[in-house]
Amino acid sequence: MSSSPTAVASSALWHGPGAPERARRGFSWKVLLWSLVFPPKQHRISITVPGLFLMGLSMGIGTAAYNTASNILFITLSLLLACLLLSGLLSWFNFMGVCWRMPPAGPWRAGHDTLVSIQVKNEKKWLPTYGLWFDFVTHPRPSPMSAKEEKEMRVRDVLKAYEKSLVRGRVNLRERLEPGGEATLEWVYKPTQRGPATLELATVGSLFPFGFLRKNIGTGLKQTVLVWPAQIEYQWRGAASAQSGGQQGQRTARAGIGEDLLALRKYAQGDSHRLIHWKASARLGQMMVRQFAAESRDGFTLRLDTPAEVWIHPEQFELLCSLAGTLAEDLFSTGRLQGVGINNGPLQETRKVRDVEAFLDDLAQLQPVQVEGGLPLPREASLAHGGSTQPTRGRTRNVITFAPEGARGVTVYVDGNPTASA
Amino acid sequence: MSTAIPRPQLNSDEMRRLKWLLGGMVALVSVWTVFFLDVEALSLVVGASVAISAALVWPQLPARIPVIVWRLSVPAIIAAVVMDFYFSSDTLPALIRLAILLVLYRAMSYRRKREDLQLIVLGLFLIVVAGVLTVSLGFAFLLLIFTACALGFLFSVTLIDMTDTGPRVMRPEDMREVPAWARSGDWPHFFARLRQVTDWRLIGFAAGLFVLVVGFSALLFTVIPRFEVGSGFFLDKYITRKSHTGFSETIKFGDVSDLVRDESVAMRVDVTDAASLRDAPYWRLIVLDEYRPEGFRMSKMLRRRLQALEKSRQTIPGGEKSVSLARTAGGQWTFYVEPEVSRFLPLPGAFGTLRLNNSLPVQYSDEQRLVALRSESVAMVAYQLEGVTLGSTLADLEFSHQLEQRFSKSSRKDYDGRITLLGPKGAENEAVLGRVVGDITKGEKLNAAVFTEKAASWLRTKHSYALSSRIPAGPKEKDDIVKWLDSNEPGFCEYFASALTVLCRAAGYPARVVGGFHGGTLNAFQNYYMVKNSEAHAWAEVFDTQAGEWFRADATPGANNVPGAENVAVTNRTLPDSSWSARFDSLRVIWYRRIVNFDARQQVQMIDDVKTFTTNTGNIVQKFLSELSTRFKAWWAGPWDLARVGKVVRLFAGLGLMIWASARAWYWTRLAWLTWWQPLNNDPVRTEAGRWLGELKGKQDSAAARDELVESVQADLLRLRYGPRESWPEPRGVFYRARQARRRVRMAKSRMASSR
Repeated sequence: MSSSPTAVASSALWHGPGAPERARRGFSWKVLLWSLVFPPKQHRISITVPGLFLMGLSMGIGTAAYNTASNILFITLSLLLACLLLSGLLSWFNFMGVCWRMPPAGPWRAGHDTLVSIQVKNEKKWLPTYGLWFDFVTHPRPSPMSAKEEKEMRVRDVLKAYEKSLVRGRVNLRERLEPGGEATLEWVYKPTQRGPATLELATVGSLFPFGFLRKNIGTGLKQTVLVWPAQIEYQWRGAASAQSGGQQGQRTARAGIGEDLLALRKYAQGDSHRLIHWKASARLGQMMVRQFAAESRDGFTLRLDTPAEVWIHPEQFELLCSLAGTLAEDLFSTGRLQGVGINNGPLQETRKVRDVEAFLDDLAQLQPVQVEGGLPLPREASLAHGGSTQPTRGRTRNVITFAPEGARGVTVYVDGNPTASA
Repeated sequence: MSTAIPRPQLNSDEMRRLKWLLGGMVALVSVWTVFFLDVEALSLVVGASVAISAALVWPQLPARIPVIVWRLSVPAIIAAVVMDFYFSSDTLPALIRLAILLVLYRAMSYRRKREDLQLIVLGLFLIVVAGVLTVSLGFAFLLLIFTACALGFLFSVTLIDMTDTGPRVMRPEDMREVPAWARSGDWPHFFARLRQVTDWRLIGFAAGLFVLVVGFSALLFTVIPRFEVGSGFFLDKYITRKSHTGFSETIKFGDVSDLVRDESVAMRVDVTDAASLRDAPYWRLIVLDEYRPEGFRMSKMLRRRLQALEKSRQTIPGGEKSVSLARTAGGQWTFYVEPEVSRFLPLPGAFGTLRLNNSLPVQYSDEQRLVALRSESVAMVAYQLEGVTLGSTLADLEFSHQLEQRFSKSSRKDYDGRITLLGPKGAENEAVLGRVVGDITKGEKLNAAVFTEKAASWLRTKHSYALSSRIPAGPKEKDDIVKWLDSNEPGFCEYFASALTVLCRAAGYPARVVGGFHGGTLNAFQNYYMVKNSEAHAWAEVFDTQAGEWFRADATPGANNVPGAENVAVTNRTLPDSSWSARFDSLRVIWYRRIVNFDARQQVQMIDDVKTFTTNTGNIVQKFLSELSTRFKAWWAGPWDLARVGKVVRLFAGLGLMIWASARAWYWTRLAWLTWWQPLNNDPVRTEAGRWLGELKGKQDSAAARDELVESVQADLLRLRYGPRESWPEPRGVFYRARQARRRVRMAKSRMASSR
């Protein structure tokens, strides 16, 4: 997942009026008084319909009071204005001591529901907080239009088009947040498009206490999240197993996904929890995982080439990415994925989940590439050789490649033989 | 990790039930304000109150109402309103009835946010209209209660609206389904839950905020600038009131007005110098100059004359002061006349200036000394008199001129003074009157004053005072007053005044009946005069041709105007009233003085007072400080000895001890408060441990050195805070070590700071 470490780190810190760093700054009368005159940055107070009505009512009563010199109307006017002041005061108290943070969001998958969580804390000593909401906005990172298109359109149309690509959501804090309490809120979102997306906590708002004024605090918390390609259905027509170069069933003295325990090693991040050897871990005082000997049966190598001349239809290209990702995951889960390679990049071995995730990350950002100079190699030949200029580890068999099928479909070739399609 | 002690909260259904409760209270309070108004809506108010209360107690009730009723409600209300406007002569009462119907409709139905806000607006309308029309003190209390309920209601509406996913507006079909919150639970259980979730700190905080709101609104009320705008009160155009008092423009013999049995206060008079009112004053309201066989009344001529003199004004300059038997009472007299008394304004005597609160159409006749509004006010009327001269006479040059000219046509203009000489006609009447006059004068030629005195004495000898009286039987040709005159029946003030007037007219002296009040009681709490309706009185005015003025003649037994009358009642009346009713009445006067009558002049006066007070206080404080400083310097410069040093040491020691004792007392009081007053699920030890943890963490973050003591104390504090009771170390010891740890951390911090 390529997201700016700074942005991620920033969004993982607490923000808001009750954030620790603000508390460390301490209280200052000057700041308080200035904030009454000039609101802090990103703080916005807008009036609601009831609030507008209240103001209209106050003006009407005030006018009547002056016209009639009736002190009863002056009393009513004073009370209405005092209630408005109380509303502002309570709203300020409500936000006081509240802070929030957005833990780093993991990679998403297109077409799958994903949870975006936000943690809220109330640092006040004895006043609860009520009625907050959190507005999220997500949009794909690159602009949906090309620069040339943007130049030719009017600003309003550009903004309109941009607005279409935004997905907004709101999460309400329905329960009271106790003093010193924390809550975690989750927003369910289904990304539709693969690629880098920006997740932003746009505003934190509230209508508390009486619904006259809507207070919104802009947060500026942003994260870039990678959206993996969607999983798709495909038809596997070819042989169930790969061609093997050696005796099937033979165990090799190298780590892999087999059934025989080869060794115990220290836990590394990304290892499956099912591999943890609990007894050994308890004895040694550190996490140990099982390492199995690899089956001598061969797995597959996935080679993905994306010349722009070949992949001219965007929907087809998306299908390619989805198919490649789905296939890689399926093969890995059955222990038959040896390595993956994209375009002219080196072949990456896929031993751990992390390796597959890295591949999916690459897929998320993959775009058709312009092949420089000369005609592209014949399809069959490139597939056979995997399209890689760097020598692989003697891998010429069980190479999965992809080719377009018509204008919409994608065919999977294993060593040049069509094996699956979507 | 969350350090909050999770408190029970009201769930969604309970919040909705709370909203229903508050909505019902808002509706009831607003409907009850109509009790203060004298509009014909009492049965509607009672019905609405019963229905709203029923819906409040049984929230399933609205669902039992058939859908057809809900559908037809709005057309029915519209039809009722149209008919009401058509048949009713006044707009405002019809509007008020409409508002009550709408409040009832809204309060009875299940509501969403929009309907809740409508309920609040309707309630506010009723309260404001009632307040504006009545300016009563009760309005202030109801407004405060309404505000508190409405704020709570709005608060619950806002919280619920966030979680509401249903339709924005309730349709009639939606009413037949009982909402989940109304199905589940009941009120006793709800109130038990409410008590459980109540945090008294929050309640106290909310109460404090409400007091702040009221205080701030009071401040806004006083500082909002007032301008003297020429227009006047507008709502009284849309409502006419019937007078319930005896102060109509007619006295009918045989009627006893309800007024004399009414002990409620008719008017209140703020007098700058209460001692200036030595006698029970006469408050003159109305002149009844035309005699009819059934009684006296204000003549059409006089009414027309007053109407011709009508002008919209705020200030009325008084006429010439009468000089004989006059006594000037200084200062300003402020009158607060209750509604329904009369359209005529009571006057104690001649005045220099009369000032109203705002410009009103006023009829003023200087010769008659009458001030009248165009119509009876529906609200309290306040006005001020300056340069008041108390006296029993009223100069009337115009009448003198008419007399001199023998009431010639040219002298009469728009008022024929001969009406004040006309009495009972007919042989029978004249025979009786002639006989009586003869008895009184005994053939002598008397002047008006002497005759009046003798006539009054004659009346008092023949008739006693009684509230119940009857006209004796007699021939039809005799007028009622003549019959009474010729009998020994007792009577009350109207009889005596009318009889005296009739006798004076028969004797050839112009006379008329005057109505008003006589007496008053000093309120011991706020030093103002209370004049009750039961002190309504009638007396006569007789014209003295030689002096050219009308003088007051009160023949009623017990009145103080005539020499020899009993004055016992007068003495009793002037004793201050310090009863409970007087105490409550004084609240009303404070309301009138400080709120209702508050105008631009009072605002300026208040600002001046504040300025003067601040300046004086500042001067006093400055003087005190400078004296103290001088004394201290002198003392310091004096010779020092052991005794003096000891004194200083003892003083500082005493101060230190006091500070330490206060801190300890505060600490243990707080702990006791935490133990006794906090809800049971709050443990004071855990709270205290949490506080120490926060303090030590904050301090330790900044100090680089990690201390074993600090760490062990923190571990113990964590156990006290989160651990089960069984695993607790001894709390006092832990808190003691926590103090030591705090000291160490502070020292480490200061060492760090100095090493930088």
